[in-house]
Amino acid sequence: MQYNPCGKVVDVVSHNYTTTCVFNTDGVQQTVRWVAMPDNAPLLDEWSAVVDLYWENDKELYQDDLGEVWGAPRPYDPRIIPPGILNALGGHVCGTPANFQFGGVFDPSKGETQYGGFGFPICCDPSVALNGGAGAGGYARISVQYTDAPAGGVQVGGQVVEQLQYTDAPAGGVQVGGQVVEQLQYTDAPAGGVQVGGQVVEQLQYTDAPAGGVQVGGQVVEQLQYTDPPAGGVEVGGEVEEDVVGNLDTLNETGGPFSFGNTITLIGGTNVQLVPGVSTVTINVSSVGPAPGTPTALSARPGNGAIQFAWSAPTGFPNAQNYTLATAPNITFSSGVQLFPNINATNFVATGQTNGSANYGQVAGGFNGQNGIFSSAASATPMNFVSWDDTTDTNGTTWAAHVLNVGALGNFTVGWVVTAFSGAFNAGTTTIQGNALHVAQTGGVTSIPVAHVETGHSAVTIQVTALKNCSQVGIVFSYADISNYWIFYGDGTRLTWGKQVGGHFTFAPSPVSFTWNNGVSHTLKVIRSGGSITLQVDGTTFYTLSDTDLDTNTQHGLYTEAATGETADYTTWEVTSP
Amino acid sequence: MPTYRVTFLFSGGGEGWSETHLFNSTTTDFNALRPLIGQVAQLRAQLLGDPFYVWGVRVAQYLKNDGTRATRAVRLWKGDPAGAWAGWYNVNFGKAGWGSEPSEVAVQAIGFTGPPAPAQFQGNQNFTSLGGVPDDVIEDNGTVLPEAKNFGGLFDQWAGALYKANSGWGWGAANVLVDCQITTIIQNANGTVSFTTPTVIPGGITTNVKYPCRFRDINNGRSALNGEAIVYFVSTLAGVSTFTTREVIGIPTSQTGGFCKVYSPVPTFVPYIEIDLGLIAIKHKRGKSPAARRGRAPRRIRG
Repeated sequence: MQYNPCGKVVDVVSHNYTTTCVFNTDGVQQTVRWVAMPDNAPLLDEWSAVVDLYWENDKELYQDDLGEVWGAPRPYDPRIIPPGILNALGGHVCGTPANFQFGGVFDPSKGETQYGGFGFPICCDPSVALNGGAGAGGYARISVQYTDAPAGGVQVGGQVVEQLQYTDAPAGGVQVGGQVVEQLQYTDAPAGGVQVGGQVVEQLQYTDAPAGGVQVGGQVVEQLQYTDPPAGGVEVGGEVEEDVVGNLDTLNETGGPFSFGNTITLIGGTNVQLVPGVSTVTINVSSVGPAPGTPTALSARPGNGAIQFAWSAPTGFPNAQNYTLATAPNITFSSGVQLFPNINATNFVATGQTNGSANYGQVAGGFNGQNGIFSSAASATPMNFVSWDDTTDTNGTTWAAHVLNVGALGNFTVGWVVTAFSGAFNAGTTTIQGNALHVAQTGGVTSIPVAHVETGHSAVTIQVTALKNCSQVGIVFSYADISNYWIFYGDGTRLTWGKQVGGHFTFAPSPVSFTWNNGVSHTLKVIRSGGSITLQVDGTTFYTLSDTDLDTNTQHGLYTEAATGETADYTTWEVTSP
Repeated sequence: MPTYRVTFLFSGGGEGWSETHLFNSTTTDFNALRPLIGQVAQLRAQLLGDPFYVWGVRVAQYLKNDGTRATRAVRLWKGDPAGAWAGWYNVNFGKAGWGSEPSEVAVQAIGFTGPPAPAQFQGNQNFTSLGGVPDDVIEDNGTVLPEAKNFGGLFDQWAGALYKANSGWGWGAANVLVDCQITTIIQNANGTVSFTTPTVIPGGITTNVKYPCRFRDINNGRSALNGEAIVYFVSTLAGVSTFTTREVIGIPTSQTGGFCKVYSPVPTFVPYIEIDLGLIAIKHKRGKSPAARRGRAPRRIRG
């Protein structure tokens, strides 16, 4: 597993124990260790599938795919988490809410999780907080050396690389979490004693360590050195490299929020020398920042067995990456969850969605290995569309630039192709207006645009709602080019059909009467399967034809005739195929 | 609407207990659930004497909208001295004159159901033991004095929040799938017990699914089998249906007669329509505080 509550309380545990548990969706059984926590330990404020089955009244009856395996031995485990370790972790959590609720997915590229001496994963990279001084979260490639340590003490979590050195450590004690490698040196260890957890390699050295004692857990690499750190107290989390030498009494923070891309200026006080002779140091945050926030404006567009989700990057994290999208057929995400990890864009087409019912999605961002919080859910209902347009877009968007909800074969980038009818006619103005496909003619010449899209299917059911304020509105189907297509339209007094095959026109020999006044909408439908053609308006069949002409063509669209000042509006374009 | 098991956890003086209700809500947003659950916790805390307080609330996903079992997931909410719900958990903690009866002394809240619960459950009752009652509320002979400390009024506030229309609070009613006569009982080689019944098993019972059941009247009521057990439905052949227990149960002598009720593995949510205060105190076993650091679990007899 690669997610961990990192010292947060997950459930009320009847007693400390170790037992078999499934954490990942691969079903592999691993071991969960429940440990006693101080009463002031923070809660994991997320849903967790790993629970103490003691509290579950149907533990004998119901076994989830995730969580404890009921019936496995539950031997007592006496280990207790020291409060100092919780402080070092700083409330950090490894993993996303979806990991805890729906299980994780093991990513081999991240390798097996490494654990320190107290059982917490070394991958923890707790955010940095400074008490009264300056604060840094995440990874700052600087190195720190203190003289005159603070009364508030020094807490170091995570990995410290190279040169971190203490002399005369603070009264509050020194707590170091993580792995210590190479040069960590103490002389005159504190009255509270020294506790070292995790891996300590090579040189661990203290000089005049603090009265509060020293607790060292985890990994520290190379040289960790302090000399009397400042009064305001300093907490450093994450990875610290290289070295900064100076004498600090106070630290002031300027420069706004400490986040990616900003700079923080540390300004020395009366007795401050960050480097001998220098009292101001600017830290450029050029590497890892804290975990990103929640992506915003998540939207969902239905397709055929697919949904296109789009979202905005979390506020303050324009470079968030490695998004994880979770989809499920229920808003509770309680079953049927699919995870789409490692998305490096702010939109994604999630396939495998069930046609005909609502499917939901949530997305969370990542940033250099840190996972953010899932957004609120967005939903859409996929259908077996081969072409679908809800005609929703910004006013003035041309039909060509307007992207259909679903194009051929689920393509989400297809727009309309608008062709002028032959002869002296033009294509008029075809734009989105009022969330409708709007045709207008103002140029003094009658416009007859033939707009069509590729659907990939010749056997289709085509439906569109047309608001007529012009001469003729209708559907063009089985379109190949401007000399080969069928049309079905109303002209105000009649409903009729026509076909042009190789430039030769044929019209319905006896058009049916149908009053279609301007300002009135009707829904037109064409059902074609090979030689069988059915033409309907508002669900009533007006023509049933048997004609195989052009029956293999797969483009279909809209047909309009508008004189100057006339308009037509089309909404809800739907094409399905058996 | 999903249904949650909401367990209120009580603590004080090193002792503790829990009280569980089902909560049927239209929302799945935990932050939207907080005020609905927090209000009940706050009203319940008003009924506690010093030093007891609501340690926290455990919310577990339980039933899906269609009434089937939801995937397990829990969330804790502990009393928070800061924030919007500051102080909801320890209303009477440390308050002078509000000393509590010993934790095992409890009063009963008697819940009733009715419409819109399914007809077969209407009229059912549910009993919840409310511990941590203020000392002034209970006389030495066990009589409950609703007027003391305005306990009755505070109880009505708490109960009213639970049973008001569309509150979503209720409990899980057991569904009897079949009540069958037992014809034969045999001990299997692996220690489990199989029994047969001439009853036609309804379609809702399927093979290899665990069902809670209750045996009665086997060997005229004197059998290790009598009582609760978990059984699998095996098959129905030639009009004879066979079940097998999940547990190993020793039956050294021949077993005759008896009946078995088989229940649905998941209950049906039924809402409260009324909750009354029992006027006689009861004794109710209490355990350790949820805040206590637990030691080794007690040994139990295992099958």
